Amino acid sequence: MNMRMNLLPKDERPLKQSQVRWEFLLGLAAFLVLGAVLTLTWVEATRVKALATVHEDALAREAVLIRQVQAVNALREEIKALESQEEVFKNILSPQDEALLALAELTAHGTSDLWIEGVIWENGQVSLAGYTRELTSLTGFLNFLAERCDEVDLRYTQPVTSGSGPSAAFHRFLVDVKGVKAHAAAEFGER
Amino acid sequence: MLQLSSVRGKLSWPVVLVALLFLLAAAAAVLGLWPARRQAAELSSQISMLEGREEQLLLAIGERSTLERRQQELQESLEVWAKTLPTQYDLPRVLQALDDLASSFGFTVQALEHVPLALKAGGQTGIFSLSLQLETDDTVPGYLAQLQGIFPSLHLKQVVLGYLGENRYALALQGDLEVVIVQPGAALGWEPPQVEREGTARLAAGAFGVAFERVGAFINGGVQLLGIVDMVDSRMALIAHDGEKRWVKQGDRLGSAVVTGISPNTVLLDVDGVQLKLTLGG
Repeated sequence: MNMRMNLLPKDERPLKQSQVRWEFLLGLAAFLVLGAVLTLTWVEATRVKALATVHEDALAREAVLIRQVQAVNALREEIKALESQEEVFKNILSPQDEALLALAELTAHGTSDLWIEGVIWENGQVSLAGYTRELTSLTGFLNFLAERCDEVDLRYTQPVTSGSGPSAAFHRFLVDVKGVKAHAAAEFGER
Repeated sequence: MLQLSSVRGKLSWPVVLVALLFLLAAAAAVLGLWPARRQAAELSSQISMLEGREEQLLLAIGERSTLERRQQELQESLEVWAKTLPTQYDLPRVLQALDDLASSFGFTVQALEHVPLALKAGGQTGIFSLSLQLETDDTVPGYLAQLQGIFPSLHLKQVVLGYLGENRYALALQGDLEVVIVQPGAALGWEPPQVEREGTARLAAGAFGVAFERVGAFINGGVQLLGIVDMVDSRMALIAHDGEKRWVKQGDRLGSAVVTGISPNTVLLDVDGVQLKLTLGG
């Protein structure tokens, strides 16, 4: 049996063919790390490029949209001005007064021996002046008004005697009414 | 010294090369990869923010069609208003329209006056105070309704209606006509209404009586029945009226009254719907 002896110091002995040198491993690792870093850098740069394109597109779209929104805002301002003008017009409208609309209804008493001399409408209140031969007719008239108004106020009655006797020939009266009910005005409207 | 010499002893070109590779990798990471990642993150964040803003902008833009419809509606509405509401320059035509409306009802305008324009606070509207006196028939309610319809900005303040007799009425109106103030030379939008008599609303016949003073004149000694005589074909009454004596028969007028009947002791008078009875010796 042949015996081979390596007399070289241990550090200087050649490596076995199967043995890998640490410098090689380290070099490989460094190369892989460098490769990975460069690859990742390239990937990120590509990503940045794509994102920059998306960003630029988004900015361009935003600019277009902002112009459109400005047009919408201008439209809004114009609508505001038009609404303000409409409000001015609406505010100068006069509300229709139900008592005035129901004038025909309020005076159509159908009571015999009772006559209305005059009517004054002012601020939603109607004053009816007249005269009657019988107080019962006046009572009937007051009931008639009460069915059509919220408030009926007999302001005064004044008997008027004839020259021939003590009993009153006529009674003059003044009635104020307020709050004409809607149906009275509606009845008038249907006529 | 020993350690340095030991390191120097171990430095070989492969070691230097490996070290350089690591350094290169570190430099690439610091100078290329990290800034790229940071820039990508920043861009992503900005894109995300832009997308959010874009959504909001799109929402705002999405209202455009609704707003355009609203604008169209308002413009149409304002055109109608402009035709309905007079301006300060329309007064002559307003007065003419008031006259025309009265004429269409067969009313007589006795007075139509106005007070010069008073500007309201804000200066967008003004007021002409109007007063109108008319002699009318029993279609006053229809007239009033139409008046308010034609002049929606006429704020009536007072309406006085008095019966004159024979289906005639005295109507006095006071109100404020509110007008829109426009710049001189601005296009006039108000269109005078086509005045036509509309509606059949009337005051009830018999509900009104002449002023009581006219009735009272017959009951307070102003008229006295002095005697009644039977003729062959009729009956006549001797009546003292305002100090004068005169014979009357059925159908004759006695002032504002009409003799409607003569019986052996009484004479019936009609003062425009108000029946009065004169008694012999009464």
